[in-house]
Formats: sequence, structure tokens, C-alpha cells
Amino acid sequence: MTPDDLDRILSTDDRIVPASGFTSSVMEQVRREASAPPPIPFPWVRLVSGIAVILGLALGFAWSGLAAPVATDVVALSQAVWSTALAWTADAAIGTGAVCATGALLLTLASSIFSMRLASPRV
Amino acid sequence: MSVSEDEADVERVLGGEVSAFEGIVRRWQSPLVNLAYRFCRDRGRAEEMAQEAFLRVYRALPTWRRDAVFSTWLFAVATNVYRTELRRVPTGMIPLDDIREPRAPGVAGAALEDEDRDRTVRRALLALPTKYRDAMILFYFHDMDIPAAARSLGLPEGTVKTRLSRGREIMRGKLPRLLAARPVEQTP
Repeated sequence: MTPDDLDRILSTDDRIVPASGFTSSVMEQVRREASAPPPIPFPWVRLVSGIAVILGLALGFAWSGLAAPVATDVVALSQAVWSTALAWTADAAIGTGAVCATGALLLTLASSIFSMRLASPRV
Repeated sequence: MSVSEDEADVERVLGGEVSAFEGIVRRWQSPLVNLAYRFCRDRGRAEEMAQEAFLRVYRALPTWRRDAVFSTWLFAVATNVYRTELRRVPTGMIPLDDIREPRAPGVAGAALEDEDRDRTVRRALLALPTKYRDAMILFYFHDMDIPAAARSLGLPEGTVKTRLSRGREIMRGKLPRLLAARPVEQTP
């Protein structure tokens, strides 16, 4: 088979005609696509700001930890501020946690009693 | 097919008039379905692939830069969709469309043999390694226009020329054996 034969055969390929409903089928999909709500964008701003806050805190802790042995007045002051802030945060967390835990336990108890009463056979 | 019609329709679609996309579909459905058919040799699958290509074109319309003609961009998007689709599900089985119906007696034997040979050649093209297959499909689809094939594939013309040359070489090497092995059709 010569190169010309190959060119002739491959360039005179069969032509097909799209089905009669092809356009409407495509347009149906396009309309569905157009009417769909836009995808929710990824919250990059929140992610970046969250990472920045976490990094800032981590750096702050690291810096206060490293600087402690050679404390100047400024370092000592900032460390004191950090310690106080941490202590307050811990107290608040413990306080809030205790309240939440107690509340949850009471709620569980009430829920259990209520369920048992519902489930028990009435005489 | 008019360039200005395409551009006008694109503007209308981008302006929020979704129905204007129908003009684009009507004008380009036949080329896109036929290009898909050359990639898969299955009419039903060709239509599905072309439908997916149109949907992709619709989504990507805002990214069409006016430095390329709309049809060039359209073929590039469609080619990309078809190649991805064939990577996902390669062609393998002989589609029902290609199974020959019984012929009436009296059909010339030579014509049948030519038809058989042509079909074998087209099937051999699909069996080529992907990069040669794609270059050859696009080259012949665009009436042997290398720049057009290169634009559709997003490749330099030199690369397309090299791939065409290598693809033809492989086919010429394998075709004699394939043509000799094909079943001979009995004519009455």
C-alpha cells in the first residue's frame, strides 16, 4: 500500500449525521447546568487567616519559651502577659468545660429516665 | 459557518442568554460528532462524547480568548475531551454499527474488497499508540492540514509532522499483514 493509498483511504472517511434529538439533548444539559446554583467556593480567606493565627500563636509560644532564660524586662513582661492570658484561658476553658459536662450528664440522665418510662409497660 | 455568528452567540451566552448556545450547537454538531466518531468508531459513543464536549465548551466559554478563532478553540476543547474519554474507556469492542448487513447478490466483488480494506486501515489507525493515533486522526479530519491539526492538539507543527511520519511508517509496516489476515468475503 502506497502513502497515497493511505492518505486517500483515511481522508475519505465515513461521515455520520447526528441524531435528530442531539441538539435538544445538549441544550437540555446546558440549561440544567445554567440553572444549577454556582458551586460554593472554597473558603480560602478563612483557611489562610486561620493558619496565620495558628502560626502567630505558635511563634509567640516558641519565642516566649526561647527568650525566657535570657529575659530582659520586655521579655519578662511579655512572658507574664502570656502566662496570665494562658491562665485565664485555661480557667475559662475548665470552667466552661465543667458546666458543659455537668449539663450533658444531667441531660443524658433525664433522657434515660424519660425513655425508660416510655418503654415500660403500663399497668 | 460564520465567525461573526459564533462570536455573536458567544457574546449573548456570556450575557446570560443561554438559548443562544443552541446556534453554536447546530452549527458545530456535525463536525464534533464526526471527529468523535473518528476517535471511537461507534455512533452512540460519538454522540455522547460530542455532548460532553459541548457541555465543556459551554462551561469554558468565559475563558475563550479572542486571539484564536472560535472553531480552533472549539476543536481543541473537543479533542481534549475525546482523548481523555478514550484514556478512561479505550475502544476495544467492534460496535454493532460496523457489523455488515447481508448484501444483495450482484454487488461487485472488487468494491466489497475495497470496502473491507478501507475498514481494516481505519481500524488499524485506532490501534496505533495514542500520540500517533491522535495526530493522524486530527490531520485527516482537518483535510490534511498540519497547522490545523497542531492547533487542535495544542502541539507545535514540527511535533505533529514527526508523529504523522512515524504513525504512517508504523501503519505501512503492519498493514500488509493485517490485510492478508482479514477474512475474505465470498461473493455469489
